[in-house]
Amino acid sequence: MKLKYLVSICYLLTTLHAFSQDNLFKASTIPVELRENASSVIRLAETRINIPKVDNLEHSYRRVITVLNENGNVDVLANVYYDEGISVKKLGAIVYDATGKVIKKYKKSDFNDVAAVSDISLFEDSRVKYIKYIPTSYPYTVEFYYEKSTKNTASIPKWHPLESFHISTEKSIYEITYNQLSRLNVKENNFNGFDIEKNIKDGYNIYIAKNLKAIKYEALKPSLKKIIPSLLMSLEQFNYEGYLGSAKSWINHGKWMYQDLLKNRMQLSENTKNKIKELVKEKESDIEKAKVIYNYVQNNTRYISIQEGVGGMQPMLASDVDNLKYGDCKALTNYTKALLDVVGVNSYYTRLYASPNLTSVSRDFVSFLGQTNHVILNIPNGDDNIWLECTNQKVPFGHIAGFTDDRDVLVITPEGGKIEHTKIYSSKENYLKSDADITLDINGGFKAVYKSAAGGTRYNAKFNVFESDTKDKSEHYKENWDYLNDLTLEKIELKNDRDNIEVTEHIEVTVPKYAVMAGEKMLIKPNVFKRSTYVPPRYSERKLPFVIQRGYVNEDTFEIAIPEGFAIEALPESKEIKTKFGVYKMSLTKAEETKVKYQRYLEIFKGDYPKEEYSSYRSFRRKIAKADKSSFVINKAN
Amino acid sequence: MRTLIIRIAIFFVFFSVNSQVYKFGKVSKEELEESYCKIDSSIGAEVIYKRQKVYVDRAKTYGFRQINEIHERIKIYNKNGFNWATKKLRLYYVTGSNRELVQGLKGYTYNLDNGKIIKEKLSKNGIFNNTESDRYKTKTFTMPNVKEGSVIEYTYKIGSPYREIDDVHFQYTIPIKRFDLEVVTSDRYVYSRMFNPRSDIIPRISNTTRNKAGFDFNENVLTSTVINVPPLIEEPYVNNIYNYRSKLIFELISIKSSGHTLKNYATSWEDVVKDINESSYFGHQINKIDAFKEEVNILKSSVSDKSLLMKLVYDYVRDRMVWNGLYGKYARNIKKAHKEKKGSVPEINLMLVAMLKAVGLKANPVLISTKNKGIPLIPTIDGFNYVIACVELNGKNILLDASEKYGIPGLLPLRAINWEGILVLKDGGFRKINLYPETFSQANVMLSLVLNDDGSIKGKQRTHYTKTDALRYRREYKNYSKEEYEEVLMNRFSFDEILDFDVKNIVDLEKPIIETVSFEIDEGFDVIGDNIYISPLFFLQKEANPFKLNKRKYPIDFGYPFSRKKMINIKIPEGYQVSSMPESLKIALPDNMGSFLFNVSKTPEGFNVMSTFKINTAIIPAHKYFEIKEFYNQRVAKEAEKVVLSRK
Repeated sequence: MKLKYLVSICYLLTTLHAFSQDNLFKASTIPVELRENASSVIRLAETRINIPKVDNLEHSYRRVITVLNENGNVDVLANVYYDEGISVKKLGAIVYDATGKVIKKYKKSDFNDVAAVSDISLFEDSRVKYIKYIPTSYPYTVEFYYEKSTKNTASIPKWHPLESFHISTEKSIYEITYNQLSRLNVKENNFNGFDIEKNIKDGYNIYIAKNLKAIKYEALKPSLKKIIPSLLMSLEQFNYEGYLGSAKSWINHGKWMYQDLLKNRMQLSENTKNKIKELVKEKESDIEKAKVIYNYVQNNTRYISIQEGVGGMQPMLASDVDNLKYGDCKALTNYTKALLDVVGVNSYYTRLYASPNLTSVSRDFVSFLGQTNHVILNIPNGDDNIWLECTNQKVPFGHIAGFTDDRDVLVITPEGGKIEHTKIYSSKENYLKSDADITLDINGGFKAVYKSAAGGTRYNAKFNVFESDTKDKSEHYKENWDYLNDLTLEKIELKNDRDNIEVTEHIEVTVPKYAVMAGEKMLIKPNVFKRSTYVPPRYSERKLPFVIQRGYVNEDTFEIAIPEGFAIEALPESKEIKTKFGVYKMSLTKAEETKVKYQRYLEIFKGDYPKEEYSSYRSFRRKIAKADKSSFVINKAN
Repeated sequence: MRTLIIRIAIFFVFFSVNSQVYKFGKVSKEELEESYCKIDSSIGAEVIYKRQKVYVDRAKTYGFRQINEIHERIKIYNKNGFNWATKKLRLYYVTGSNRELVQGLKGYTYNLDNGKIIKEKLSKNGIFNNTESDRYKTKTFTMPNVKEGSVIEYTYKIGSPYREIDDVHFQYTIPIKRFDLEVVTSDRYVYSRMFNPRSDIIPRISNTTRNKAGFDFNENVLTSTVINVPPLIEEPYVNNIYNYRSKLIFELISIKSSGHTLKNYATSWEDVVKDINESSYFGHQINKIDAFKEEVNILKSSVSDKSLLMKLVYDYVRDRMVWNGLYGKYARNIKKAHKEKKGSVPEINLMLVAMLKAVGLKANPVLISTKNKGIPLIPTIDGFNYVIACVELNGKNILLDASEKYGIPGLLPLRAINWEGILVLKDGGFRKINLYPETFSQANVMLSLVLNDDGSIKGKQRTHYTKTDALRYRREYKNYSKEEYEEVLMNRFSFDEILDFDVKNIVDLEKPIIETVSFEIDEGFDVIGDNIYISPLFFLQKEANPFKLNKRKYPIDFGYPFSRKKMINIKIPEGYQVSSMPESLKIALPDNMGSFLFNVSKTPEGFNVMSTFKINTAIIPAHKYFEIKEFYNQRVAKEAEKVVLSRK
């Protein structure tokens, strides 16, 4: 052990040798290629982790960052998070000017200390110590360091040598020394193409990354996680708030979580049990029973957010939720599971990373901490798993589009953990279909009856309108059809079919002036209600691949009756564009002498695409935006 | 006026029913059976009853403390109302007796179960204490067993060592059915009070005086009962909806003891000005120039023209100082700020006033309340949170804010423009001063376009931005490199190629921004049948009217008066002629509030477009809303009309 430590110090000495401390604080020594696209440059970041015992983790950190311009101020991040279980021993910061001269020093007592509570949360015991330095000139350099220690070894600090967009890194070191009786799970992501050296021995690993160029932010980019190098580590055996946990495999890890964190949280009173049994007694199948219970939970609980100690990972007792009728995601999921258990329906507590972005739990790196932020409930159902969001009192049974869909998640069963993939919504399932009858008048205005049906991700948007607490929903439509000036909504009728997970709209509108007058002619845009204006931004040189996370389908048919005394003069040509990104079809036909029929079909496919194809996707969207604004012409028949 | 009287009468009919009906712990079955709000069926919750009592009590541990006692009963109609079941109390917290404390927090949730009222108590595990910082704590509680239809009720007292009385809110974002208020104050503490004049709800109050048994002072008792207060509803284009909330504002004026006045607080603008002039963090600061005596002497001797001198001093402070993002009106240490080259708004601008005075100019500070703070309603120091400088030169007042890196004398950043400020004179006098710019900011575009018969366009655009528009441009531009800004323009105007792009005077703040861009557009206009249809303003057309609502309660705030002029010269493809074009339009808003002019004329090679849109008044009262909306409607409709080209 001692010898190994010595080796590590020698190794470090050699690596640091070439790096004069003075140069570190001078902005002029930053290599030109690291300034490209960068608002700030990490000159040196050192993370040193020491885990001598299963219940002792020492973390020392030092980071020198040079901020090049105003946009880089947010990258300074001279802050350290802690809670009751973490003690911050050493803490300080030094600010240097462009030439490397010290301009300000901060001691531990100079740091602000505030609760790190988000607005929605009732309680979190997390706190943060931070400084906020106001620069008077650029570039400037901030050296920041701390040492902290904790008994919890369940979560080992990650390494991201490239931290975010528009930050480059000159050098970043990550070193871990651990009790060699423990085994370490290590997961290296995206190291390829970056200058990263490593040296791995028993009980000791070191990684050194050098000269990582800044990445420019681009629209539709893949998640940062998929682009930048990162290093994840976990101990096979760790201490979590006094529990001895295991992370040998997902099975093993899940088993531990079930045994220590979940198993004894599900008791309910006999009274409640009887009530629940009574509720489902008419129901035959498991799914029908589950629906009744889900409905019961939705009608009898509400969501609040509490983050505290073990509570951060362990749910409130089901019996407490039963009494208080509120809880956070863990509590409400656990409660729903407890109720389902009473009526013999199998279900599993499931941890995942919830986000509109599709973020998966790693299949081959075992540790739930840092990989998950939310809990839902899984009801096994053959190939068609059911997933229940228990924190929302309104969402239909099994609907997860937009926030927890299409990703790998950790399902925790009594037999252990397993990685499953949540439901993928195909483009056809994310539909918005509409029909409209539009009658134009001689002044260029119109009356219309518009009907639509929406499902999947498209359901969410309409569902929000349906559920909004403003009586007057016309405001929403006025914003949505913002180009229909002086729009009056004569009728708004929304229906939410929770069983089929579909919202339907029946809307009647009038617009006093729509057609554009040009002498004796009128120009009319037949796409009255479904204009796509989205065109992704243009880049002179696209650097990153791009992602379309979810596909969808729009299908529209509008019939337009022209005013009396007018005749159709010209119709735009039909269009059909087929690309690998999607399909667009548009046609305008004469249905009767005084009626035209407009049909439009748009389907976008989900997918990952290389950067070379970005411009053709952009061109596809531009063509759609343009076609959606095309007009036909009528004139006064003489 | 008549309707106003009727409305007030409806709201404030006094009920003879006494508040015993709302005894804590006694909720009626009818309240629980109510299934939707009578005022607006989609509303999530409603305050059935609120009682607030403010009084002074003698507590064993802490001596005299001011108690703010609250009792609220809230009906939860549906899931949108659930967040009313959680309440957060923010407490000022230093140490020992100087802290605010919550006492006697009790709460119940009531539900109906088969016609029976079930009562559930707020228990300890529903109460959360947080230390926010070294000055504030919060106590948050969330009620148990809340469902659609529940009634919740809680009561608590906040005990405070301070005698300032917080604003009493008569209005929430949900309706209030009944609110009983009682404020008991000792006549040794004199308060002025005022209702928010920007709210159309003015509750009636009554006052009595009684002797405090066993003490040698009297008590003033203020009571008020209001019923059916409508909710405060957000409207677009309103800066801060809470500016319009119905509330009663108290300000401590003076403290007396046995007939002697111990301490006087401001009661008039004169007092406010006097107080602040005597403050060592304000009045005294603008007379201290030791820290920058040398600079003052150099500046003073370098030019004799007063206007130039003002500019020199201003430029010096603006360029030296970096604003740390903080507002305020008091400067703790100007010397230190000067040394460190950074500071708050008052540190920078009081330094500016001090230096302007030192070089012999007639300079004074101006107190301002920023948009997010709201307008001070009564003479008060607390109402202000910002300070700028004002120089009187040749009978004109010039406003200066050196915290704005892109500012020039006479040009304020938008954050500082909010109705009027108070010019604080040295002799204790004061003057109200208009903060809105009196002249236009301009964005003038000259555009020349060549239309090709394949649908493509080649063009050159030259835009001038002045004053506030130039300031906004500079602020936006600084976030990008020149190449990145080209991308911004390409996306904004849907250009396919930018051949040349240049911006002049980014650094030269006195001069207008001049942006020139040469570009190409692949498919710039529609060919339908044998005709070409052109939107005469091309990508500069305003397609949507921002004013969509049918009614409006609050003033429309444009921020500053502006003028948008567009002159476009279009060369049409060969073989085509202009066969029809929009008629000219000239419209104006009443009281010279704004105007719009639009004109298309033929030229030998195509046509010209001239369009001028002006808003002359930064703030337009709500009763002019329909005129504004219709004005924008006509503009949008006119700009949508097409020029038709046909083959020769």
